[in-house]
Amino acid sequence: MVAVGALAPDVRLLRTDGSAASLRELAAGQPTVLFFLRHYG
Amino acid sequence: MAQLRRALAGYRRRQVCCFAVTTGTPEHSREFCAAHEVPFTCLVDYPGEPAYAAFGLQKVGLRQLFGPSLVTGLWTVLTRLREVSLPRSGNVYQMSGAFVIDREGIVRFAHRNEHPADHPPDERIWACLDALP
Repeated sequence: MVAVGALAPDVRLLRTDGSAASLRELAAGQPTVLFFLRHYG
Repeated sequence: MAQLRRALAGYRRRQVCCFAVTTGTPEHSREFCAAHEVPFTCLVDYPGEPAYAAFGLQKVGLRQLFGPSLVTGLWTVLTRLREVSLPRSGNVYQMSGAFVIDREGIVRFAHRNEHPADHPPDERIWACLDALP
């Protein structure tokens, strides 16, 4: 489990158009907030 | 979702990338994000939710799904009835969370929800963002 102070896993995710990208690509060197939603809410 | 919309200005002011990650399919996520006016770029995890797992977000049983008590859980659902919609895909047992990652890719804030109503206050996330170099 990733902890505060650790390197974030560079997970791959899908955009809503179906294209894939890694978290690092998406963040593009900017501070990033990830909200993982539950059951769409 | 309402909490995210209310907090939008606070995130915009800090000029950070914000992503909302869902389970399910890209098509259903796109429909959901449009219908609920999700204020951030929506992304979708792969089947089996490997990204959720990589961040330590677990799948839970029905008991935890309804929160600290059945009454609390039902009350939450009732008060949010207009916002809650049944997804057409995705994993209902997947718990949520929020993370702040700095420019170097280091996790600076981690909140893993203990139950569905356990959202971190935006002020805690903003404080973390404000402290980033």
